[in-house]
Amino acid sequence: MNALLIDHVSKNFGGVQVLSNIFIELEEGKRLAIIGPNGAGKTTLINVISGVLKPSTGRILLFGEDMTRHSPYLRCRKGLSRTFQILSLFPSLTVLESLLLSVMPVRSDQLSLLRPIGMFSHLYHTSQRLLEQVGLWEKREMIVCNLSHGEQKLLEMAMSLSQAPKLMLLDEPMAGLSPGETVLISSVIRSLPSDVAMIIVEHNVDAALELAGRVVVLNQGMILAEGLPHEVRKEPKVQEVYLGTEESWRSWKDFCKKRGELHS
Amino acid sequence: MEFIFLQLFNGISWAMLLFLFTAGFTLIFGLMKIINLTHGSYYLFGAYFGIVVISYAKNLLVTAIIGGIGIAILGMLMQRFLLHRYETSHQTQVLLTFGFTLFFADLALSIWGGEPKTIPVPHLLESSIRLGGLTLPVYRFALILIGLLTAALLWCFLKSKFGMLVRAGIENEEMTAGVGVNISLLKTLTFAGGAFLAGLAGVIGGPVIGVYPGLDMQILLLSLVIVIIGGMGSLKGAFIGSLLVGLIDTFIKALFPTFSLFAIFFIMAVTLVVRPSGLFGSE
Amino acid sequence: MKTFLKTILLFALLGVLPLLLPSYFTGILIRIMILIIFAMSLDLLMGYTGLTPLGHAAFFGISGYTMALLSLKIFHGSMPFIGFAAGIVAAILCAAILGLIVVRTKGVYFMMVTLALGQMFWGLAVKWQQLTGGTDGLAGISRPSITFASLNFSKEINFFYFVLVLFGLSYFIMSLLLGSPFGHTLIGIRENEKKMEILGFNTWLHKYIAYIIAGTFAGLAGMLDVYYYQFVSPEILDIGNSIGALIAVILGGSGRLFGSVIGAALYVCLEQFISAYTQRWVMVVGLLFILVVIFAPLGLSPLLSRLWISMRKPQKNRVGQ
Repeated sequence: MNALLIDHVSKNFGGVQVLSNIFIELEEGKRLAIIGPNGAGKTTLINVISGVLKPSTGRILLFGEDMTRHSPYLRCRKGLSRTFQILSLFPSLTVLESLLLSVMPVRSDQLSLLRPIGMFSHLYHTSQRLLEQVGLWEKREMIVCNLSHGEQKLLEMAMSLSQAPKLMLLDEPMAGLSPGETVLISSVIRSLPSDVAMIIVEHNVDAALELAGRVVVLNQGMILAEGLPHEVRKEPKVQEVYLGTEESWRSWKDFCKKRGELHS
Repeated sequence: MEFIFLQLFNGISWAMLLFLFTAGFTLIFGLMKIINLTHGSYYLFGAYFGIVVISYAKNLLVTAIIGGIGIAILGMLMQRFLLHRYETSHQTQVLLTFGFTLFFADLALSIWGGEPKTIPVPHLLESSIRLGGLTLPVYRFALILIGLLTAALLWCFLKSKFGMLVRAGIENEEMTAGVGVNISLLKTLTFAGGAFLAGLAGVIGGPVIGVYPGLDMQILLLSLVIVIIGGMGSLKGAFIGSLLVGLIDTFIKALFPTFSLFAIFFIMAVTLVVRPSGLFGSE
Repeated sequence: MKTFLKTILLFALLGVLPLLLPSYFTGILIRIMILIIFAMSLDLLMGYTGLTPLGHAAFFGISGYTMALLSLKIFHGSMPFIGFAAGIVAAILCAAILGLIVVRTKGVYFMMVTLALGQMFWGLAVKWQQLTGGTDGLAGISRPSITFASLNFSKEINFFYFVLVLFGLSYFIMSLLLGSPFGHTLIGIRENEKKMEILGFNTWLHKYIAYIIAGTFAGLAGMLDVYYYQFVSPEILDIGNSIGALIAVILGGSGRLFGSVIGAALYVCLEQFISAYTQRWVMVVGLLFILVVIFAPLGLSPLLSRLWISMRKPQKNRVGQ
């Protein structure tokens, strides 16, 4: 069964066509990278998948179920989680408080009205485990807005893991990170259980391709190319789009060379 | 049948007065996203100014313009020296205008007392027209005319070069400022314009609905319902919404006066449930 | 545990105060307690959920009028607790129905819609003269009494203890509520609703429940207010009343339960003091509100600490404590 099926999805905002006829199948446990130049519609696509936006046409199926009209919180209960490109956190809460909120089990304890939160020790245990996984346990009492950018990204990652998702949407997880922090995030992503399907939207083409087995190239709201990294690279349309960005083009070449897939 | 036509006539003239007032509110929200709750106080003060001025000016039109200008100045001062500082927080701006509502309401009470007052209908428009079996005051015809005229003027204005600047400013402030437009001045002028309409409406509404404490909140309430139904920031919505609210209010008041508020509540509730952004509003 | 003991101590102190102070102060203390309940209900929405209602006095008045009408027109003074219960039910019902319309909106739009609703109720109270007596209001409402225990609350000091018990209960329930997972979810919604949705919370439901709870406590405060003055008029539905509660919440520091206590006490004391010098207390309230919003949006504490340049604990309530 597909973890995710984006079935001919289009999205327009009052006359501006942002996504056109997107069709993507993602099997369970598989990892997909979505790359493309700025304004290609990558974040819009993530917003449509996670339910923040509803598509103008087409369907979104999560694990076989049509979730097109469903709110974000229902998709979370289906096993979806996402991180935000522009960090979306709880600015005046502490790291630990943020996690406590994230790990509150979706059904039972949420509406507990009168028992003090201190009595829910399993929330604290799970929060600790997740924070240790990303290396933020020592900083648990820090106020979120005082964390460094990299630490905030790690927090975001920890929060997105809290509901044991089966499909993760990572929207530019490496954006704005130092090389050291990038390595840390990459290792966290790599260490995720193999049955978790993943979509990574990234500008850092190198990093995205390290983590994903398949690539979709988006341009101007349409799928330009799709397939294994080295295949996609050879497509002339893709080369045209990336010709402008020397660095990512070069890094892609280097990457393919490293993987021994570039023969000329 | 006559009854229906009479209520229709009254309803439309009431709607036009409401539109005049609400248009000002919508202008202010449209450009600055400020929900100016003081707008009702502007109406009330405009009306009270009108009562004072008319004894000297003797001419309702002149009084209305003077009243409008007076309120425009008040609005400009409020916007420039206070609201402007809180541009980033719409919530704070609403709270501030809310506080001013209370302040102005009691100020008006202390200055002019609690007795209801009225502005005399100008001599020229005192007569009535007989249509069918009905006697229709000419003044209400004048109101309808003024409402339609204002709607037409505003529509032209928005399509004009100045109007385009205003709309561009709404869309993208930085860009508009980047091409040399003094956005800050534009905002102050727009706020003044909106306040002017409220003050003007206060004066010309005087002969029809009078002037009394509590009027500020009553008319504000109707305006809020109008923009909820019509859509925030939409002049077209304000026009249609005013017609709807004006007509419904008039009809229900004629039939079941105590329950006119229920009718207003009902249409507001239906709108919020079925189409929360209003008829012409954007999400 | 420490805070629990401290709170019990404070309540005990409060209970003893009217016996120590001249009887003039009993009335003031009653009014403070009523305003605290009202302010707490407002802060539940404002400081915790992040929704600021501008017409919160509507629930204050709905319960007040319901209780007054029942006890005056139907029961003629007997069985006062039925009126009391009816007032609570009225608040819950109204909040449940209005909540369906109102809780779908957010931010300034929410402020606008709640104001419109509040004004409608005020207008209704004024217009429906047959029922509500219009601007003249309804007088002669008798306070409840527990006849089998021969407890009569018409005496102010007895009424004080009646209010004290209800205040204590309200404060206790509020603290439990805000310390529970539900309470923390509200804080999360205040901080970042979109994120809470992504994390799997049905934020609408949480806001709706909070709205109903807030309306209920506001209704309780309203009834106590009507019992105290033994009179009800459209004034309790007026924006002045809503603004008074807003001042109490903001001045005391929103997002902190004890803030409502401080803010309410300050407000009532200010009212007592300033009303002695001027008739135009309403104008002062409007000005005061403006000043509070400008200079003390985070409460008096930060204002004072800014003046004294000292380190203070963050204002907003914490998750997990």
